[in-house]
Amino acid sequence: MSFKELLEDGPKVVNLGMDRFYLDLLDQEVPAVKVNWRPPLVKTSLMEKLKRLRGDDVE
Amino acid sequence: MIHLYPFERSFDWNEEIGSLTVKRTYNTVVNLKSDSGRRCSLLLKTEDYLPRSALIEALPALEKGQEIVVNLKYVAEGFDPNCLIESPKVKWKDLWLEWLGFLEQEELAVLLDKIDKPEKMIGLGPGSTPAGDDFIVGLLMAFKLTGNDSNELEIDRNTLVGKTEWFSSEMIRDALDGKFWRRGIELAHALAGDDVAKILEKTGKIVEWGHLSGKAWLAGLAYGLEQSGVY
Amino acid sequence: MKRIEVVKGEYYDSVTLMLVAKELKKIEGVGDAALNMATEANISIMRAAGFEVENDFLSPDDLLIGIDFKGEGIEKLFEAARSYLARPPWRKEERDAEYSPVTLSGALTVLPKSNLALISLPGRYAAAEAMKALKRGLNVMLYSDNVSIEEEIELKQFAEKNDLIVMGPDCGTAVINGKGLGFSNVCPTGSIGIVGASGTGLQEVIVQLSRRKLGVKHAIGTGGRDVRSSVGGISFLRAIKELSEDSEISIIAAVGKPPAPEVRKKILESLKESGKQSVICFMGDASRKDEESLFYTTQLEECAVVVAALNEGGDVTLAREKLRAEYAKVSGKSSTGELSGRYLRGLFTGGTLCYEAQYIAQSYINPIYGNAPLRKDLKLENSLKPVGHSFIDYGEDEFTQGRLHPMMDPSFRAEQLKKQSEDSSVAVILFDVVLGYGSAENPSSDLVEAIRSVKREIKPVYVAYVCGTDRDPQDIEKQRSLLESVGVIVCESNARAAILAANFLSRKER
Repeated sequence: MSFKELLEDGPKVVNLGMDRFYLDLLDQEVPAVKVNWRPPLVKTSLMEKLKRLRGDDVE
Repeated sequence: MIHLYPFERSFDWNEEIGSLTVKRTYNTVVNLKSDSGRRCSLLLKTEDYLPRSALIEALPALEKGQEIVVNLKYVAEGFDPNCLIESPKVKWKDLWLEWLGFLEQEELAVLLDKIDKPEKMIGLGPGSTPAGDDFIVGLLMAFKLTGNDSNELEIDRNTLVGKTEWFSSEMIRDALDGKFWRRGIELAHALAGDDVAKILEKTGKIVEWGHLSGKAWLAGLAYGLEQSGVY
Repeated sequence: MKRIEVVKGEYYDSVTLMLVAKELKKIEGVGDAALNMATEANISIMRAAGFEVENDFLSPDDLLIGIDFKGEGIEKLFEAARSYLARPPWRKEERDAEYSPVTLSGALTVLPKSNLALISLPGRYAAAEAMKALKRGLNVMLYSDNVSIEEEIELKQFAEKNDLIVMGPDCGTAVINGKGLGFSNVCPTGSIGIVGASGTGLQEVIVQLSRRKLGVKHAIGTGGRDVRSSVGGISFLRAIKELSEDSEISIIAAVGKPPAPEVRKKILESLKESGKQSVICFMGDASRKDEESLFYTTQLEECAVVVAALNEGGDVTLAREKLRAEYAKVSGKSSTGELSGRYLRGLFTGGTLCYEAQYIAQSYINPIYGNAPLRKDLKLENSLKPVGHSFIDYGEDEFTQGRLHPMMDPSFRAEQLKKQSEDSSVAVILFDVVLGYGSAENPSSDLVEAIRSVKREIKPVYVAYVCGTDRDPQDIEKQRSLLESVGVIVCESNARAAILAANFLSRKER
């Protein structure tokens, strides 16, 4: 969604990070989803396996 | 001898009167062993429904090894443990892929190690029901949902009991028979539908189950869906 | 006994870790508890706190739990730590029974129509997640700082190509279609559009407009570095363009520190082309003459006053004179009573409020030291040991590692306020209390407690500004009364508070 559409439609937010911001959005009835964010997998051979399984992008 | 009178039961527990031995008691669940060695359970909460279980209004104090009689005559059916549900919708794929991430946890590394041959996970991993068993059951549900053959996993029913805890072995047997716990069935229903709030709710109920059991189960389900060739 | 345990393969955000540490410290016998992800910086911090950390096999994705416990059975404390991490005791049950996605992709299955990613992750992860979000077609509000300028440029160039905007890094405040994001005040919606390169700068303008019954439709944050020449004002200019094209917006305000010359040129051009009246507020800038549709201010309240005058179709010059007259009255209020001490200390939670206050104060008293001073040579060696006249911004990085932002958790600043109050050389203490979303439930209470507990024969004079609207959840009247109940002089704007506080000292110096 372009910036213009964001301004016209109002925010619909994915929150990555502090929960507080997400809760404040809910209070304002802004559609929002919070992400319990986890960092990308550590590189061990087991984790490489997991990455393959999930089809993670190689960055 | 104590006689107990549940008020509702799962479809698959229909012996009208049975004599059972108490195996393990919890606050809201009692696991029993039937004459034929199967697990049956008495429950206080509907959300804990399993194959061969029944809801009862109150649980008396029971002791391990005690023999009791459970009377199911004219008791209504309340839960169908058979998983005859449509497969999950592909739009939820990015969500279930996240559950594979549960295997990143240090304690579950032993499962990740065996992922190329999941049947080797039986009996492995932390928890009073080993997490590997939970993984297998989730995996078996995924097979069921996607029309895959559970025999692909070379699991020999007959040697199960020797490989893992009794409760777990029963759980895996039930899964091989296409029967699952209520939490899992509710999630499967949600994944076949369009209500994301429901999916998040039902997933949450499984994540909080046990220490790592629920997470291992979800990882198994996710793995099974990914391996199914459907998505 | 001090011990460290390592938990591998688990990530926790710093707020959770900080709160768990707080819970552990409540347990009797626990002298210290620290939970940190094992980054190099954090390992040093933990070692400095006396914990032995062997960093041979550690990575920044490992968690260090450090506990200092008197007596036997320290293992139980580590168990408690792990259980708090798994089931945070401060959280309400219901909310957390639900599963929350752990990735952006997962989140997009839950809210496929998302149009904005609000990112407040640690800087080392923030840029990558921001790029992922942009690639999925989301605009980004990047609250995180510690994002390199190269990353910022890459993100903004990508956004520009794809018709998206990046607000930030270090963007703490935005209002979009009347909805507040991050730290923001509840204000009426209206016909004003604001672009700002600063968080509390936007908040102050919004608050001052709200006092004059004016509403804001959009307030777009751009982060402080956007107007540097290397970034080129990408977000600032894009925001101006959109505000210009919005038929519901009648006046545009542009707020921030002075931009690089070529960026300034573009900003002015684009405001002139907008067809709307604009008010510029580049704080610390030289004063300039108003042009046809461009009005120049250098202070936040002044900016709101000029916007208000334009909105009423009134005389801007008159409005400015009126404001100056009111400021003169404010300086007059400082003549009462005997001052004990010689120095002014400013204790702030809002970076821009601190900046503006210093800027105003320095025309009355000099020099003013600080941790975010107006000039490099005025930087304090130790921000916890201010000298002379000093202004401290407690929202700066040095104070927010392992601590919540002072707007969210007032306790640390309140401790410092007490310390400064008991310093006999301190005559006047100036501080801000910021209300609105993101801020603590009762921000004045810790400060008021601190003031009550001060042990000194003649206490310093306290001057404060409450930056809030009458719609903010913290109840602005209650906050004001609470402060006034311990003798704090509460002013109507950041500028007025700074003028009053500085005048107490400048009168003394004469």
